[in-house]
Amino acid sequence: MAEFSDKHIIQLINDDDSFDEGFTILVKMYQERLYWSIRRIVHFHEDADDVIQNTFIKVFKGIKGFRHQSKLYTWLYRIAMNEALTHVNNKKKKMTGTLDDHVSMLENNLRADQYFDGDKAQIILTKAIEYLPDKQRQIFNLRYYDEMSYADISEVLGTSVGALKASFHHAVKKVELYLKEHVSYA
Amino acid sequence: MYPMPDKEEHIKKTIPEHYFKNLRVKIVNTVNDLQDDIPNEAPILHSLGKGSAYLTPEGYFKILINNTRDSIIQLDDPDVLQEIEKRKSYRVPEVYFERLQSRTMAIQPSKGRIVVMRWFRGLAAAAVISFALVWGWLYLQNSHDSKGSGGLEMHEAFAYYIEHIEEIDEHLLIDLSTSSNLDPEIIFEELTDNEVEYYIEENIDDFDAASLYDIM
Repeated sequence: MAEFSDKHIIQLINDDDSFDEGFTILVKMYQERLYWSIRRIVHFHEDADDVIQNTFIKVFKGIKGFRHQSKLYTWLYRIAMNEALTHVNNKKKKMTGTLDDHVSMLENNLRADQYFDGDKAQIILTKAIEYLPDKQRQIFNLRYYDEMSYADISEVLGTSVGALKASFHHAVKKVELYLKEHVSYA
Repeated sequence: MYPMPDKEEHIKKTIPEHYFKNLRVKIVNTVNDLQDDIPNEAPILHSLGKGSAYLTPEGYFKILINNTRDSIIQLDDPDVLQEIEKRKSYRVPEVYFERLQSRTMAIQPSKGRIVVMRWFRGLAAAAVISFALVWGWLYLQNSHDSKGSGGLEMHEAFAYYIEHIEEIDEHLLIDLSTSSNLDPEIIFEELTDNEVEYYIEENIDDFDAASLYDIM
């Protein structure tokens, strides 16, 4: 769809008469980017669908309070990432077992998932990323897959650029090490 | 027992001057100089590429906005509903317009323009009246013992049509105006009243006098 500026979308949203139009444009403009970011955290379509809808519900409720202190899309990402992490943590609370058990179960579920079409190497990569701590995983995904600037990630996660750089650097090293140990056996 | 050495004195003797200050600067500079160099730092990761193995159901993103709206409505949150009301948000059932379009296409005559129902009702009513008048005329021409269909006296049938013109089913109106060019396969029962109303409003300007005349 055509790109609209944040300013234009917010103008539409701030007018009750054009709210619907503005909200529709906002959802259509950002739905895919947000969805894929969420999906990389929650892995499964059904979960991603729940999370993105919750995200847009929160956006619907809070958009009038958006004060331009950040870019619209970093504001949306912040909500989406929080929702995704909350969803994952709620799921984890219901599970027992170690991190290894969790990752092993993830692998089995991905193999059985009709909406996952990865080969062995991609499953190993998914596992490598899953072993990262939550925050580091978010940083890795936003930087590596979403190719977001550090300044924008800093707005999304509320972490300094320096800390983000260091964190991403460590994350890449950990992922690479895991791949080195496992990919050859794939 | 030896006296405890002075802390600052101890640091001065064991650590170079401004060590911690310099260390902080050094770390900050090192971090700032960090460049993403995935091909060299992580060649295996780089070789796997960024392609996604995740799929979505077909057409998922086309319906996400509708699903989101449904979710918002289903929240049943008074504050949200108030906001919806205030923001003049309104909605129709899912795929309503697609469904409506396919239905209205189905009733479109093979040639000419679609008749607008509001106008058509008037015309069909006129056809009924004409029919009734002819019937009435026949009634006058014939003897008083003539009977209409269903065992009604002709004048009774005439009176019935005139009195109940507003209640007469659209199918009957169409049947009574079979001299028109309307497609006999029009299936009105598949359209709800709202859809008919919507259709009328949408197409009112498409109707022309010539088509009206054809129907008569």
